[in-house]
Amino acid sequence: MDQTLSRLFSDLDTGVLLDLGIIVAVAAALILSTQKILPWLANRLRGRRRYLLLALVPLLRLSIVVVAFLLMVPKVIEPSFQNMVAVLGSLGLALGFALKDYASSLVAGVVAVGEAPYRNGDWVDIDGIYGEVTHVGMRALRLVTPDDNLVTIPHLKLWTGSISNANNGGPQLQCTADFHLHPAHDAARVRAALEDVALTSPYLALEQPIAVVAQEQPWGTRYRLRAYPIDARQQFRFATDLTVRGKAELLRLGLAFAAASTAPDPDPRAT
Amino acid sequence: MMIMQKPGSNARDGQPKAPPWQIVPLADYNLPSTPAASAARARWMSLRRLFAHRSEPVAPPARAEADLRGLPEPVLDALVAPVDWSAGAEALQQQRAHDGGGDGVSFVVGPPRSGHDALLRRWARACDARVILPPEAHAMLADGWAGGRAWLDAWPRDDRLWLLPRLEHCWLRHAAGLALVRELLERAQLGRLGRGVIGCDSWAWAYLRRVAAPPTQSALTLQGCDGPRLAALFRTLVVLDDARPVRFRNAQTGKLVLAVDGDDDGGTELQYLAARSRGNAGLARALWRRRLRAEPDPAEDASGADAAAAAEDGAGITLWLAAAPALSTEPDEATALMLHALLLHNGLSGPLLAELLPLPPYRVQRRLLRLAALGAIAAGADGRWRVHALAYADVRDLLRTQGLLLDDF
Repeated sequence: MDQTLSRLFSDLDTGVLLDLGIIVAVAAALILSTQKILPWLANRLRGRRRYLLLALVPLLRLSIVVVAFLLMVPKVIEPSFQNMVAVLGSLGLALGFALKDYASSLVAGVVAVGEAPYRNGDWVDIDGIYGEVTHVGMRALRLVTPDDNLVTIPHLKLWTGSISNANNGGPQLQCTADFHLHPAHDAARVRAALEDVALTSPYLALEQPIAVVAQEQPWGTRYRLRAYPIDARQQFRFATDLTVRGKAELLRLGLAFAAASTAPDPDPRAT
Repeated sequence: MMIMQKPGSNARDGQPKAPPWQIVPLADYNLPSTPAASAARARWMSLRRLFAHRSEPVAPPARAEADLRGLPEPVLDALVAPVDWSAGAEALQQQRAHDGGGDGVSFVVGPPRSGHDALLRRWARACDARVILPPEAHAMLADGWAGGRAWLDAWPRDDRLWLLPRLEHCWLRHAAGLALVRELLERAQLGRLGRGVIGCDSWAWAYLRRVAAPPTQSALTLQGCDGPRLAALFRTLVVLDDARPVRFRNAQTGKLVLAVDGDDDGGTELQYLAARSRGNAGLARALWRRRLRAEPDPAEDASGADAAAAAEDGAGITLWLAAAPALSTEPDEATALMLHALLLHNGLSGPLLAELLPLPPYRVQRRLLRLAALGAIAAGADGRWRVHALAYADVRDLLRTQGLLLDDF
């Protein structure tokens, strides 16, 4: 048995340990550097360049980990086919039984880097938690909600849950402002007024489309003003600006708001 | 020796009286290219600014700026006199006649501080055109747009030529602030306003193209100034009552930039200035004037009228060009929105700016004062805050990095 193990592993003398330590230290330093420098640089940029840099962080980290692993394995294990199969097989079994969810999250993290259902800077909704992705780690991602809560979600959710990504790696993200009006009014005038409300918002991305969706309800008419801010991070300020100025403009036009909704709101995504 | 403005003259003998102003369709505007070395240096400086708050010159200057001194206004007026727009006005009239626009409405678009407003007023004087002032800003918002409609309905009905020099003051980025300009543009293009010219700032034009229907194809503009045009312009602006030749040298490198009695095109220095000003002659002139320095003169009298006497170099007068001023403002969102609104409207008063932006009035006022202290904006005699000519290029860069709508110039 001892002889088998000794054939499996290389002699871990001081030199090998030193090499392993250097590889780990360099890999850790590189990972930490990329995780600090790239987001710092990205936050000084706007538009696509910002999102591109943020998305590079997990990709670079994965690359560094893989390279470090490939450099370390031959130093620990005698590099033969049988040895590799034996050690990696054992490792896989151990992970499969003891750390199933952890290992699954790690694998999902690799898939997340490849498929990119979320990247740093994206605004995502996972299991009803909405926020901006600030970190895509090996096991989990971190996002900051509009209430400034930091939420850690394991990549494991990728296998079973649905992930809603509002901007999908780009700076543009659609925002909506709702207005509920008494049914007796000139709808064409309201539509034109709401379009102008969006056009005159300083946050508006002018090259993106603006839509006004009207829907009759038992209690009145619901208008949804949809437009895009210049940057996804402005979404709440933009939606608030649309609401505040839309309300002021509708009041200025002498329109009456619906008093109260008597029916539950259907699926908001239906319109 | 006194440096004084030559009375009744705006050019040296034997020199062209004015640069070759050219009125062209908007699509034909040529943006001066940046010399490759200057572009690379600008990018390098931009990168350095990203990682550090200040950058040091890499080589000792030929003339340290601390050893030079600024020039008093009368001397600056003699070295960089106001532009005479009569040739530009003539070019506009010729272009209108060529386009058959003499019977309709022509649109002239120009970037901020380019002087297109002065050109149009010069044209109006030459053609005896009536100058129509824009409505009061608050009248546009009061009671729907009733105030604006009244202004529009009071449009002169006679056949006399008219000039509306500032279309950008006929709208506001407010839900109630677009109706007037839409109606105005429609009436103008349908020929219901008679014969005239509408001037518009390039930033307002860029926005109005997206929210109204201005005639983008037939709009005119003043062709951009490249390096040789700037050299010709700056020569005409020297109106010294002194026969000695004037030379402008770069204080950093010591190289000759422009000899007033020469016929060179100004080289890369003026080409870079033209590119930095984006072909905007007014901005280039303001930057040129701001950079002028003279040798110190210990024997200067109290009036300062002999300010450049010590700048003599051999038989001529040498003036030094200091480094261009750079704006250092924090690129935060609120500041960018304020500067953008000021550019879109070619100036706004503090209260009106607060009404247009989703910012509380006290924050708007505080930031206005801070920006004014930094030299980014300045209040005009009409009470409007405007982006300062010397800060314009930096402000435009800032707005570009924030992803905001830019003009086409």
